[in-house]
Amino acid sequence: MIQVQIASQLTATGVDGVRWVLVDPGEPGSTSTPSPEAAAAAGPAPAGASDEAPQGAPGRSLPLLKLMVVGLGIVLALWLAQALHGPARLPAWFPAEPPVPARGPVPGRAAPPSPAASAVEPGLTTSTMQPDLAA
Amino acid sequence: MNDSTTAALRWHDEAEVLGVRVRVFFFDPAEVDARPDFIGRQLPILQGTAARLLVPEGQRDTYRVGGLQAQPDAVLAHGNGLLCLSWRGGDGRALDAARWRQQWRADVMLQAIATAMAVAGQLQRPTAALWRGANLLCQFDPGPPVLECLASNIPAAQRYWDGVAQVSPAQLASFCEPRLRVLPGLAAEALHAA
Repeated sequence: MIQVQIASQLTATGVDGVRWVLVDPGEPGSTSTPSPEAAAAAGPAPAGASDEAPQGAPGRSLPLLKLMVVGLGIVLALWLAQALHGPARLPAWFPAEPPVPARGPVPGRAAPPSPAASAVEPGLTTSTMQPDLAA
Repeated sequence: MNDSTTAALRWHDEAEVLGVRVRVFFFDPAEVDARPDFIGRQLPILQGTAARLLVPEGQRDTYRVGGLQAQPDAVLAHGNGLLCLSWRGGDGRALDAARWRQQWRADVMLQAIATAMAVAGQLQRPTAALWRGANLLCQFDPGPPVLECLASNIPAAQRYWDGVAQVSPAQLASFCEPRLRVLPGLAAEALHAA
């Protein structure tokens, strides 16, 4: 704030009775310039002070910084939970996948007869089969 | 007319106008305008004093405080303070010494005060606001509501005048005058004066 002093009385030798009011210095970057007297009265600028705002000023990057901290916290919490309790399981209300059928015969039931060709492993192709077995 | 006893200067009359104490000194323009020295011609009540111009006559400097920028007609050093003198504004007519209150223009008065605020703010010295008309010299002593209104409305006046970087005293005065007229204390005073 800039102090403004208006003299309330005028005498033959000077002014008398000062009234003062504070004026907002205005937006940063405005064309107003402080007087040399005011600059001298203000004294040297504190260490580290600068007229130009540094890049990534706190006013602009604060929301981004908050977001990064929250995201990092969530990742850390997930990693810690997995390390302590194993892989995450789906909640009970989530539709579970159908159980994988057992490869062996179901107890109490006889395995259906299968043709000889079906005995071939699914991953094998015909080119790798034995000719005898293929016939 | 009431001769003012204020600090030995012989003002001819004074009155409270819109929150401003106005002291007036009437003179004969034919005689005063013919004086060779600047002080005697423009500030006849201070003729013979040690007041001196900060810049040569006819040259105008620009003064700024916050978003207010002014070019007073003259700035003088006078003892422990400054004198900010304006003679532009008004319609150039001579005022009647008996009816000057009714003929008074508040916008001219507020412009002179705003101009003095810019000078006082930039040079950081107590400054008296003065206006010279065709046949009178005025000194303005603004009360706190007037000073606060002018000082606090600079940003609003900037926005009102299309977001100008620097508002002029005339723009600030025209913005603040209607606001001053509706202030509770000043509105009653203005009604009484009318």
